[in-house]
Amino acid sequence: MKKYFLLLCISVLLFTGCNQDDLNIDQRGVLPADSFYKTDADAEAALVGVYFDSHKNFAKSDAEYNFGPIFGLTNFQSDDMYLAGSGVGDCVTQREYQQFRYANDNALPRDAYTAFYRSIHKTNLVITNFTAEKVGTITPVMKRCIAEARVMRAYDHMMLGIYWGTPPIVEEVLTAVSRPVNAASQEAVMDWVAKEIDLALPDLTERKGSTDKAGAVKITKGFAYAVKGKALMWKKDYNGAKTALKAVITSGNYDLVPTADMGKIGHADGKATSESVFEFNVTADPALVTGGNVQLRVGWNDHMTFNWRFENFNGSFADTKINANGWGWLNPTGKFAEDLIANDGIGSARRKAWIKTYDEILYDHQWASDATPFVAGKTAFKETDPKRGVGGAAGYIYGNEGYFCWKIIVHKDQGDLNKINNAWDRNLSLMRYAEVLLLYAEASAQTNDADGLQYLQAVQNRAGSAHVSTALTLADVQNEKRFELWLEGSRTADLIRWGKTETLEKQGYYVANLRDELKEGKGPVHKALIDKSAATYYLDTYGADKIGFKKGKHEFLPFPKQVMDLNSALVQNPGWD
Amino acid sequence: MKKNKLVRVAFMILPMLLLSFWTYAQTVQVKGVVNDEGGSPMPGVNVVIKGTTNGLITDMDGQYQISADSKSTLSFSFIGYKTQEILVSNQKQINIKLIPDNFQMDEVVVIGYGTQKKSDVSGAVSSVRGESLKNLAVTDAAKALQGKAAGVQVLSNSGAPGKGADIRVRGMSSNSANNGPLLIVDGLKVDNIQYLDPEMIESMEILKDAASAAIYGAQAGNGVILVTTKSGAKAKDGNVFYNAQFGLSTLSRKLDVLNAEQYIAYGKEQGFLTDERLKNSGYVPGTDVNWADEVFEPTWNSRHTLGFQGGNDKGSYFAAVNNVMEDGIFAGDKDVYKRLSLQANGEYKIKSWLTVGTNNSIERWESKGVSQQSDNGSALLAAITSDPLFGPIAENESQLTQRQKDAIAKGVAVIKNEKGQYYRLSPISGETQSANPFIRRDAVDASSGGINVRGLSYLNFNPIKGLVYTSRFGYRIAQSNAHQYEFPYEANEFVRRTTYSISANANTSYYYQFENFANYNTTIGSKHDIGVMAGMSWETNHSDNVSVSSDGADILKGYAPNYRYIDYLKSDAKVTVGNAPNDSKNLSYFGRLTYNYDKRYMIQANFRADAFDSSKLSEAARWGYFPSVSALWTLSNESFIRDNISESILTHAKLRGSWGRNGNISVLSGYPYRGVINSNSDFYQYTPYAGTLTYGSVPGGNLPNPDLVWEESDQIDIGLDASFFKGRLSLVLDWYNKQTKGLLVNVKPVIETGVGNTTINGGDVKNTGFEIELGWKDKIGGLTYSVNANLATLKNELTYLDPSTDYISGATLQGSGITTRCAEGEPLWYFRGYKFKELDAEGKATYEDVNGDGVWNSNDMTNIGQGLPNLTYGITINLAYKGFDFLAFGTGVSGNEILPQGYRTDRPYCNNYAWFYENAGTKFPKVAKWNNDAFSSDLTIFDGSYFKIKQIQLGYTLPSVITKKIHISNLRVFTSLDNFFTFTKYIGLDPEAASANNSSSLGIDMGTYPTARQTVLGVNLSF
Repeated sequence: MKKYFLLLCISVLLFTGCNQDDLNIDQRGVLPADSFYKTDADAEAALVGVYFDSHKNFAKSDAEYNFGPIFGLTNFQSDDMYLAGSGVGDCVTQREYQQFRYANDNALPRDAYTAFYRSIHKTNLVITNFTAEKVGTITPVMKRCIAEARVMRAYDHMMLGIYWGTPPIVEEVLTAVSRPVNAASQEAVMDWVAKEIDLALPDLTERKGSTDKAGAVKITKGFAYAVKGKALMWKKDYNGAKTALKAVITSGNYDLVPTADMGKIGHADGKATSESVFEFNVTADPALVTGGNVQLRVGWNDHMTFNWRFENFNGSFADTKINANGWGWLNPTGKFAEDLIANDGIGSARRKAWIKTYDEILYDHQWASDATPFVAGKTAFKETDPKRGVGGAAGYIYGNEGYFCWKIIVHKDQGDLNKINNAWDRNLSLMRYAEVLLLYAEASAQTNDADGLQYLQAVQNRAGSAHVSTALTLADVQNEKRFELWLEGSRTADLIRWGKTETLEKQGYYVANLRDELKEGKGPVHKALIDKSAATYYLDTYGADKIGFKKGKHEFLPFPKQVMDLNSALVQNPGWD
Repeated sequence: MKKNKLVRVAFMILPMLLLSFWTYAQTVQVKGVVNDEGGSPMPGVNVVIKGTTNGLITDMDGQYQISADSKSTLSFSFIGYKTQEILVSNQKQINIKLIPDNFQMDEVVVIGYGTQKKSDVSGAVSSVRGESLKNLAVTDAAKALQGKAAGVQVLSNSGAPGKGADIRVRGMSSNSANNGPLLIVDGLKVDNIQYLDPEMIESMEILKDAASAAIYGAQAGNGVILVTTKSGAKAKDGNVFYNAQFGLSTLSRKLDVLNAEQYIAYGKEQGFLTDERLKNSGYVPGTDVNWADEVFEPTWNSRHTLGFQGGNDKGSYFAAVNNVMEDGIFAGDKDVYKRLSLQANGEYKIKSWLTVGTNNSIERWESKGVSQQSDNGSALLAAITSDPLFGPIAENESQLTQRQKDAIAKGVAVIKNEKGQYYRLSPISGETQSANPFIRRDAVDASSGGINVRGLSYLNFNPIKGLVYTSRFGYRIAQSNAHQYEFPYEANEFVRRTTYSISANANTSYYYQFENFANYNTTIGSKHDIGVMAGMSWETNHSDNVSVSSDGADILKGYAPNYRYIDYLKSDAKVTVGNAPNDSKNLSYFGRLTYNYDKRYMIQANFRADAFDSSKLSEAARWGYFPSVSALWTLSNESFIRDNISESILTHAKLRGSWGRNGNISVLSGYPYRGVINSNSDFYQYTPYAGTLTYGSVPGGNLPNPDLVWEESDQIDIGLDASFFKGRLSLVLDWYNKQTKGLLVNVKPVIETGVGNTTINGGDVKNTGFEIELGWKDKIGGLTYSVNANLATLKNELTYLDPSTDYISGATLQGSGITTRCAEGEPLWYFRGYKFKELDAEGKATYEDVNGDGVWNSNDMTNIGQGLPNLTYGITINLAYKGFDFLAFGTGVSGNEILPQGYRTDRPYCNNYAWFYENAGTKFPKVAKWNNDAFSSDLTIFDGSYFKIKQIQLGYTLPSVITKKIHISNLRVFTSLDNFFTFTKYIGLDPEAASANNSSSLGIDMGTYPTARQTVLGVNLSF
């Protein structure tokens, strides 16, 4: 009996032990990698990955919640703005970048570099998985998907080429052991970009006229030509650039928005306008979508980051146009504001859409102490009202010379804010028609071709500018680019390309603070007060050898330390560790 | 608060029980005297009817008198003496002479899949007996372990009610979040032992070295804790016991924050305050709010245990009901923990060769909590960051901020207290991520609760002498629900909601383990003892969770409390649902071979082979093999020792040595070796404004690594167990060296891959340490006393990291450049920041140029402290005199640092800690000179060493002559002061809770719920 039980038990043991197949549990909610990349639907789905991931990574980095890495990369070194915030202790990393004091481990260029290669990875998944070898016949749908991915990949490489000169050209899906090497030269990168666009063009669709909104938020022939044209500018192939850019212009699919609509540029009400060549689209509305990843693609924190620093005002706004709090990271320099006013005239539509003067803030916005209904304009009460104007906790606004950014702060009355908590519902634009026109005008000016003048004038006229060129000069194009494309990522790269780095060389030497004469007891009424003795002289802190653009070094960003540490095959740019 | 049901039950049962005693009181009256070996009377000796807790202690003259059944056995015990047991028969007088117990080496300890005599244990096993877990104020078995065993660190990562503690055995071996040991209760693998009331526990064994733990193989890399719950004992008459505790909890330490006067001075110096601003803000001079007084309040906690136990030759039973009610010291009833649990254990010998048994625990729990530990604001952080100028309540609407006023005008909720008063936001510091602690508390209505059944049933066959075949089936069934409701409200920019949100979760899971193993022990000749064990185990885990949530501007049919359920969602509310069952399984074979020669030399080998399911490793790599070997030399049984050293000096001594290999499975999950596509995981909206979604599919997050293998730890342990002076002095020494290899590390492949992470076996960790446990017990006249102390050192270092990565990054903080990291040559998760050098003439900090390149920049960031202590220790003192007993227990750590994160560099108005103000210009930079660099340096890191007197307890057992009259065999009352004294230099609320946190943010205090100080009154009663 006992032996019987024992035998039974041992057999149970063996039986249970043999059941090893039960250890194979299917992974839920995923497809095995080798079952995908087969059909048209797979190609479309993989392409969505390109749009989704490029957008997400351009708009938000791993490290920063306050601004998108591409915005920071292309704008934060501009000589036409201050990085301000609460003061010296705020936006430290970014200010190092702006003042050319940064080291190779600065997070801002690192995150941008990473974002471009993440985008490239997703494009390569489309381009390299739908080959004749892998899927047999490449269908028209697959061809179009490949072409769109190819343009995105070209754009990524163009941007990398502009900022890093010789980034590795990555045309395949890399593995953990890959060690890609530098491109031969910046020229070779741009050449490659142009050729890639040529490969893509036959399979791309066109935007269906300037009112076609869907055609502005996907990659089309128009965007492809614009990328090619822009890339060739860096190759100094101006005739090539002209041909490519002219193709955008003559397509008839694009048009500048009317002067009256200038204020919508970059805002929720200005998505996919006639002027949009390509922008990533997202509608941040919880009725349509849920989930955090939408927040990542719209400005998750931009509305706070760039909004005026209200805590340094006396009293609060009763104004419903903008949000009531902000960190005031970004102010126009006095020089930019004054140059813009001198060029455009104080009443130009562009000036009004781009910046506000201190007086406008004091008198044209409704403060809590104002009577209702509110009447805009200066009054004696407003001029001496202690509950308005600069003051607050600090008593001053850092990095400000009496002008405030209006172009890229949240406009509540334009539906910018808060359809999803804390997010700014706007599209991320990669190419605007005004830039195409100005690139063309520049290429014309560079080649003494008067054809560009009409397009330069179109931009100036649309802006309502007091200055309309009568002849095409490079100086006029440069001027116009500075004003029209302010905070749209062109300025610093252009100055370097033109070799006009004088202002950059002194960048950040001095940062002013805005005070108020009435508040300071230095005048009977509110008035901007720039007390130079209370400014920050970064030059004194760091010395001329450690601050400002250095020729022979800052033309290119350093390959980030983390990139160099991981990729032993990469050669660093001249002048950098 | 609900009246305790158990008390009522107890009082209903008590009279019945008393009645039954009257009925069966046909017993013999036994009396006698207990003498020591010298013939002097021994007071205080325990005289107990075996198998019950019916008993008493001898009086001053060593005399006793007890009524006992004639068939029962009397047990006479006294610390340091051998227990004697005498069958009563019809004796009326039983006199006893107690003999000192030289060494209690017959004690049996539980090892994996078997038991062993303590004298035969060749590994490093610490044993904690039930006696030292009695009457603790903690209700959690894990917390009860604190300070009891060398090398075992218990981290109460929060003082919040119902929050469990983390256990670490011999440091941290992995960068993974889970460094806790494998937990086994009565053979059942459990995920926590928080549910287990210390009163249910007979003993806990901690298998510290790899050889002991190796029998659990892949899961034992962080040590193993074996818990044995109580069982009944053979006795004619059963035992009924009732233990109750009532505790008053209060805040244990004051927070060193600025008072109003200091805050104003600080604010002016910092530049954010002026007299004008103060005046405009509505500050009433003289107001000085102490937020700790506002936020924390004394609360009552209670615990009741009613138990029954008994047994005879055939079987035994133990059953106990335990009820716990904890209310945290955060004001209000939003932080509570309630638990009702039943432990029922039974065993019966059906045949001479067959025994069946079952151990079960059924638990019902409920919990609510307030937010803590977040630098994005929490209720607890708000208690630290609120300024002292404005109180929590607005007296009228004019004291509200403009935003709050606007919200009221718009009909948006501004949160009020139960009296209808608005919570106030300071015009100075209200714009923080924490706002007001009460707003944080009341903005969320969340609760969770559930039922857990845990148990194990077994059959023991004993077909031939020496062979026991065990087949056992263990199971856990868990059901829990969670509900959350939030509503739109305004406080400030960070603390607000624009939508309603409601969610409900239902979680069910089961786990079972089926194990079959045989133990065979035999003696060949008189000197060769051989033991063999072999077996297998199969485990399955299944969970199936359903969640429903909705978020939107108007989602419910009504918003009164009785509408706040998913059932009352409007038909057009957007609903998110979730469900995905999950399974995991593993299969193991294991065995053990023991050979003991002449009670002098023993060698033991363990082996285990483990295979886990495909979610962890590929089929090719799934089997892990974990061998170990250990040896023991009992010196005191050698004639050359025995002949030369008297037994009364060296009573017992043995040398132990072991080597073993363990694994770690907690780092593996989610098919990391396998490339997959996440289908329809992304979307793009190809149509502006319309919002139509087109879905996309992309590869899963990480770059797959098909070459992944097990993370393994090899450990060497050398130890010495000795006792001296007839067992008065006992000593355990251990030295170990534990090398973990193939650490799973998330590394970045070259950035150009465009993929953020891949997992590789890419790191080695070394933990070495020295452990000592020292005990002394003796008797002076009527006073018996014992002192037990333990101490463990730990050196933890990442010895190797794959060259493709410089470091593994851990926690990052807002407003500080300090991060935690793992890097080669450094301890795991050390703090990395600037090293403060000195203050310059202006009172500004300067920092060390660590790399010596002549420039001070971010490359000079270095190791500025570690969250992991390198020394842990505990001491317990027991005294007994006549009916009185006294216990003092303390524990401490040293060598660790804590980073308090209450401040924000970008919001100086919420930096309320007094330290940087009071020492400004001397120890710390001048107030206006604090900048991001200073906050990124060791200026903000504090010594986290502490010594806490966890418990001081005084008990009194009423003389049996009195209790007997009311038919109570034992009645003890006690009072205890818990967590009353803390010695530390740390500036925060609680260095103990603050130094916990999960692995990568170890030592970061972002508003941690402090451990409360408790005054406890209790009673132990048995019949």
